[in-house]
Amino acid sequence: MKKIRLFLKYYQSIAIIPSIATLFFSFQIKSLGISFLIAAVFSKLFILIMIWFLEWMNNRKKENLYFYFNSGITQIQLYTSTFLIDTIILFIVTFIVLWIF
Amino acid sequence: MDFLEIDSVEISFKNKPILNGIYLKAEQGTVTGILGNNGCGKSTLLRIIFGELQPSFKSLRINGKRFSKPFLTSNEVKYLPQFHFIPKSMTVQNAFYHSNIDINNFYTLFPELINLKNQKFKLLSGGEKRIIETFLILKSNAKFILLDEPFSHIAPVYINRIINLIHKEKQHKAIIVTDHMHKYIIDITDTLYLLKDGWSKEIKNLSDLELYRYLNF
Repeated sequence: MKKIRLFLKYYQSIAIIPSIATLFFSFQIKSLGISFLIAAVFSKLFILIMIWFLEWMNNRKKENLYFYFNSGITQIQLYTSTFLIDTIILFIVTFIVLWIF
Repeated sequence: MDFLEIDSVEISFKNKPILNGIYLKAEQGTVTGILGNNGCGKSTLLRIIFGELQPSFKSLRINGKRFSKPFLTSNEVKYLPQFHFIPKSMTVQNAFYHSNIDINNFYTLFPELINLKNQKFKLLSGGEKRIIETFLILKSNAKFILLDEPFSHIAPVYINRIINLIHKEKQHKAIIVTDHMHKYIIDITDTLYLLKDGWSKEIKNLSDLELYRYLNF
C-alpha cells in the first residue's frame, strides 16, 4: 500500500501535462469514437516519454528519484507504474465524459 | 557479521577512466571512511555500490557471495546522496511515514526541530533537510548504509549528535561514509580508504595521507 502511495506521489509530481492531455483525449474520443482510445493511449505514452526525456536532460543525476530508490523502487518500476496510473485515469475520465456529456 | 566487498570496478566518463583499481570492504559494526580530492570518484563508487550506476565491470560481494542485480532492489542498502533527495512537496511527517521510522525518535534527538513536523521540505533550510535526510537513512532497517557528505551545511552542535547516532547505529550496520570534512571522517571511522587516480588505498597511518598528497599536516 505504501508503494502505491509512492507511485501516486511520483505521478502527482509530473501530473499537469498528462492531466491536460487526458481531458483533451477524452473529448476527442467522445467525438471520434471509442476506437480512438488506442491512439490516445499511445499518444499519452509518447507524452510521458517526452516528459522523462526532458527530466533526464535537466537532471542527469536523477535527484528527484533517489527517494524512490531508497524505498526499493527502481526507475523501470516507477515509469511503468506511472504509465499504468495515467492509462487508468484516461479510462476513468473517458468513461465519465462519455457518460455525462 | 555481515560484510560487503567491492573490487575490479571499471568505469570511465567520456573516455576518462574514473575508477579502475578499487578494493573496499565494509563490515557490520564498523564505519568505513572514504577520503579523496574533488572528482576522484567517491560519489561514483557509492552510486555503483547502491546499484544506481552500472560500471563496465564490478565485483560486489555480500558475505563473500557475488551480488549481480541492482543492490537497491534488495532494500538492504540505503544511500544518502550529496544532494537533497526527499521530494520538495512532501511533509516531514510523511517522509518519516514512508521511511517506516517513528518521528518521535527524531524529536528525542533533535528537540529544537519539533516545529517542522507539518512543514514541506521546500520550506526547510539546507541544514534542516540534511539533518532529517541523514537521520532517515541512518535509522532505516538496511544492513548497509552509504553516506555521501552527511555533514555538509550542518552546524557543529548537530554534527556531534549525528556522530553519536552513527556510533549507535553501527552496532548492527555497516556504514560507509565520505565527506570533505576529513577531521570528522578520521575521528569516526574504523577503516579508512583514500581514493586517488582511480585506485583505493587503505590508510593505516595518518601520515600516509600526507604521503599521498591529500593533506598537509
